Amino acid sequence: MNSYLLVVLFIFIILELRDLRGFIRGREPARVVIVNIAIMAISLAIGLLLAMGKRPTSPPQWIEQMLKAIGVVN
Amino acid sequence: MEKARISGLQLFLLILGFLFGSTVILNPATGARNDGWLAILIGGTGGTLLILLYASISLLNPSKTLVDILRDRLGRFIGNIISVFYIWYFIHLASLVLRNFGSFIISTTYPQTPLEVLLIVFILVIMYSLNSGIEVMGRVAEIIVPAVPVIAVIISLGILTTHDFTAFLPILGNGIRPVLKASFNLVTFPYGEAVAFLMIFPYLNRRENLKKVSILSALSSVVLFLFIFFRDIIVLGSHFIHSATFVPHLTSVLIPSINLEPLFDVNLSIGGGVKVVVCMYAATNAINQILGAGDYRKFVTPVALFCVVLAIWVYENVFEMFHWAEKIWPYYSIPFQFVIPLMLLFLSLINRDKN
Repeated sequence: MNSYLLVVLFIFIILELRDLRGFIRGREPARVVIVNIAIMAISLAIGLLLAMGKRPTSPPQWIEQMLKAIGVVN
Repeated sequence: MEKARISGLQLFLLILGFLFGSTVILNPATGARNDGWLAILIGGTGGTLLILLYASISLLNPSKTLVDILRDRLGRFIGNIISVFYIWYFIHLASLVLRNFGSFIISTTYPQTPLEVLLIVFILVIMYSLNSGIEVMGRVAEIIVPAVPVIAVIISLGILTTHDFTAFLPILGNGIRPVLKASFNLVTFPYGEAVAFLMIFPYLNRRENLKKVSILSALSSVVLFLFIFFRDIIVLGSHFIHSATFVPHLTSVLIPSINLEPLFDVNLSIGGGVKVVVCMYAATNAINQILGAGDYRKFVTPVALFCVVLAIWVYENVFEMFHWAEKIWPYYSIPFQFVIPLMLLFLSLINRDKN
């Protein structure tokens, strides 16, 4: 378990809660809050997987596979 | 759009800092070994033209950001879809720079410090800067970016006693192919990445200066890259410049009886910091415009976390980072840096003629 990454995630959860409080007070449109939470949730999910040592295949690997498949790189 | 204005000097320094960015540790020109200076000249010329292309697009669409231009020229639906791809590109770029910075620092200066700690310290400063607004970013650039060439000169003066002025000879000893390849890599990294400035150009206070400022900053970066390349090659020789992992860092540790390594770290922090700030500003502002949220600051926290997580996720080790930067990045960037901007320029010119 990567405790340093967990601390980083915890810091961001606190910052996000602070932002969400402002959104509720400011009556932000739902789409703004949803996109904000969605990006945060994806980041936290990937961060937790990385902290547990279960690294999913990364976007650069997908991109490399894609470029290889269309013959742009060898 | 944010009601902020930046001066020509501030934009000049932002572009210079951006171009310097992580090129300080990942210099594509070193792929051409001792002909790197030729690669810098050719790539720099191409890069200057590319930045001029971005400036032209912005001038043809006054007071419009990249998202507005995409929507105007391609329609709201397709424009928004392509904008989402650009958002991904800017976030990806920011995370790559963050990782370059982290990997370099843990390899050289702080080998005992975990990558995550460095990234969180760096990103918190960047978040503070982003939340302060584009005007503050411009003013900060005015203060810190001039230190970059000063530090490069200080390091160069320190190694005056160690040199071989014939190290860049013979010219084209390995043929023209490696030079052209390195030139292309240099055009895509860092010049093509300046497409992010399409989100910042509308904030320039005197629009008539845009082309002049863009060209001047690109040419200044060419001079700076040439200066650093010649300094490194006359000290290290063509073999080391090709095989060393962090070339300018190796140069800085060669200075006898004085440790100038921290100055090199300062340079990287300034360049990397400006680049990450610009990329994250472009990404958050694009999200803000697509959603009509009114303020890009609402997305700074989630995008910053995503960048940190992506920076850790993106590579398993430093060698993967070099492989990606040299082999994959130039081709992956082609649509974002060349194809779509050229298409936008073409459509903007047609639109101007119609009107």
